[in-house]
Amino acid sequence: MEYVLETNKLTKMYKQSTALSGLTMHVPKGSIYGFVGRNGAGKTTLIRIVCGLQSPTSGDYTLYGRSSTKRSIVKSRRRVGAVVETPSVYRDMTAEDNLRQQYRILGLPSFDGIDEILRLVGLGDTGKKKARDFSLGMRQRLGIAVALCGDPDLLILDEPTNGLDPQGIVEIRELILRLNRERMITVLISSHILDELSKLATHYGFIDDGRIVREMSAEELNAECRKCARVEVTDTKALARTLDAMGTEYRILSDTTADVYAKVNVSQLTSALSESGCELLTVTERDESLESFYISLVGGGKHE
Amino acid sequence: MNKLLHAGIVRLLTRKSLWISCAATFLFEAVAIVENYISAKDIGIIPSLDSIFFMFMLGVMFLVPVAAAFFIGPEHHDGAIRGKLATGARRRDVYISNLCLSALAAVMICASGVIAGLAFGLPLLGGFETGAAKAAVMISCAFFISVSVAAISTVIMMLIWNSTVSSVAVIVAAILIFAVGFYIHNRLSAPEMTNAYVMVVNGEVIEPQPIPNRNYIAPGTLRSALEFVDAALPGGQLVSLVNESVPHPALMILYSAALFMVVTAVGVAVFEKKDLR
Amino acid sequence: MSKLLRAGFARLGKTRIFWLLTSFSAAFALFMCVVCYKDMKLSGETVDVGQLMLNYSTVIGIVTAVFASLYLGAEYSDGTVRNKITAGHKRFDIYVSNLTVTTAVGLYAYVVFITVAAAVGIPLLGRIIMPLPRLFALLGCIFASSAAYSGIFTFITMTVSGRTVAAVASLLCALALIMAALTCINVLGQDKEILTGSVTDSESGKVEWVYAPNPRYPSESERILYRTLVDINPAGQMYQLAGREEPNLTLLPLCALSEFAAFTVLGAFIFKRKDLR
Repeated sequence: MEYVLETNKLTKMYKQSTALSGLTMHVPKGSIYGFVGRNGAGKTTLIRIVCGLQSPTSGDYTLYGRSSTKRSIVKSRRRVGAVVETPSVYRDMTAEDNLRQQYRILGLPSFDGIDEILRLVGLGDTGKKKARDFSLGMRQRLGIAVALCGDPDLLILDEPTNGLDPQGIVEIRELILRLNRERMITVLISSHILDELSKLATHYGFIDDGRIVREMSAEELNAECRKCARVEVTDTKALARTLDAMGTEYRILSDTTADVYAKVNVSQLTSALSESGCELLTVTERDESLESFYISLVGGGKHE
Repeated sequence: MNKLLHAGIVRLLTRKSLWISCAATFLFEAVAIVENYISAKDIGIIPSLDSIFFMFMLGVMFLVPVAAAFFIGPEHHDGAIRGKLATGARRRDVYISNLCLSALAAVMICASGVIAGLAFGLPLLGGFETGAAKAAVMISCAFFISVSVAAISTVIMMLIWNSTVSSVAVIVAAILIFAVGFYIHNRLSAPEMTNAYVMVVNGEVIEPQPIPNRNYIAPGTLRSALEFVDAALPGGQLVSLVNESVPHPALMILYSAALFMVVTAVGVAVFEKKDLR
Repeated sequence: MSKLLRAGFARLGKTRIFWLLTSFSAAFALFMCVVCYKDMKLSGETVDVGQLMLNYSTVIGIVTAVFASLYLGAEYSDGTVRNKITAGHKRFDIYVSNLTVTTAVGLYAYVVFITVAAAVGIPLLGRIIMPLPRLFALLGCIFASSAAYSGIFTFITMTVSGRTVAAVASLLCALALIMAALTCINVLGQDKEILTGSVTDSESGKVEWVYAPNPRYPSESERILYRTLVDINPAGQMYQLAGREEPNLTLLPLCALSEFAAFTVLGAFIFKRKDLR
């Protein structure tokens, strides 16, 4: 699989705290990578480092195959558009002027496409209104519009739905999906709103205390969160034969455990397994929501 | 208002900018007195404390706005004013509490200068030639001037939303007020006639011929207006104090108080109606 | 870098501070012309418009500090410096492009002043009396000192975290440079001897002036120190070039451009390593 961004044991220490602690992650090309973590987990710090705003204390990353330790990384940066924490817009300029300014910074030969970008983010009719008079949601959209200047291949969005109304959230979600599908833009979104991410992301990176706790695809996550009965047996091979005979969907996890995706009749299963010389030890009902999965991943351990 | 003041005092006293301003004023005054003492000792003529006591007011003129910038600036920038209004505080109370705290900072900065002046001046230069009572009156004038500078700084900081712009504006205003006051005071102090030259013939000095001083402003409307500005604005008052030329201290205090009230009234009126972000 | 410069200059026209600075420069030139005209009418002396053109040099430091604080400060407070870095521009290029814009604006402000002073001053006051080569040489040196100012204030604004702190630091630095220059010039301007009294011969009426060594007259080593401080201080350079002192037209621009280079190298070095939010 081709990765547009790979970090290798990134660490960032400030005077009084450690924001990142050996963070390793992989953002596949063409994906919408949802970067999930609680406040203070290190999401924004990572984004700042990848965008070149800060240098890591140790570790490195590659962006489109170029290492962060090489000067040629700037060529990769030109393929990136980002909104880091708060929208970076000149408040005393109109939306159009802000985009023109970004075009100049990128050295684009003409101002073609500005109107289209503004319409895309829903700011097509702001006219001469200065950014300082925009609502937070409008400034957020303008920040995304600025990030879209120059047709980036990678879009990095730090909590892009902050300050947006429900309709705005839907519009931004649809915009991200459209950019990903139609323009093949890889998107890295950091968020702590799981529900929103679950409608968007194709891949997930769960971060806690400055480290990636788990990376997985959306399919893997759905599988993890699916309602099932987790059974513990003495012989999963015998279990597999028995469940195949029953026509029941299942997933073997280890030599002794498996998830069964159907309502389990314990008596029937025990009886069937005993014919194969296998004992049923425990049966546990699992109904994982994305939230409970996340909490079990990052927060459950601390409560034990 | 009490809650606002209480919260504000706690915040003010933890501001590094306030203590740095106090320390800078203290140092400035101490260095000025010691340096003057050392220079004067060489010729055997020790200057009076009166002539250099109020040098610290130069520090007050610029450091009170700095303290206001660092104290009130974050109120807008960090949105604290929004929080106060949202919890039911009245706009007038928010303004007045910030004004009181700026004035407190001004008093502390001025007091630092006075303490340094007395601590170093009295042992090295002796007591005030004009007497302790007159000195006390002059020191009161210094405090009133400091508080009027605080009022001007507060109105600028409260009415300009952008904390960077307001910080620049408040210091530029201080520079302008001082420069204008200095210029006007110098023009008003210019004598009517000036000695253009001294002629020496065969070792004898010929009586110099006085000529009209072109910097002199003749009595009239212009002079009266400038005298009012010189007496009423902190710039001119400061220069008068430093130069020991305060003929009517009570009037200076009255003008400072009046400026404080007028500026505050305007500030409150505008702030009450201002659209906040 | 050319893209950054193009973007930087394009933004100028859209910022209020640029037009404010233009208006101030023009207004200041007008003010100086009017003041000189009134003086000319009163004294009957001719005013050299060339000398008038040099007068903005004493104020340009504060103007540059204000501009740098607000224009470059907006890049941080609005977060737009992040756009440049994210787009792949090198930090050195960002620093130098900002420095270039600030330096160009400082020169532009002075050109506006000269233009208005010439346009209004020549018809009102008469011609330029000083030789044009000398005027151009002095203006060239002033531009070099203006660049030194730009170097210093760009350094402060780009390296100091906290927009209010950077703005206050720039303005206080500008003030401190002016006050330091005036202090040094005052020391260097002290007479070797001071008049302490006179003796009149009662019979002949001859007056003999009594002089004594001035204790404030600097020693040789002190003179060298103060002279050096004046020469390396951009404000000191400006005061010398504005005619208050006889300037060294080789040394002053050399000092100015060296400071410009030194602050640029140091500033770019610090900015490269700075963690941005």
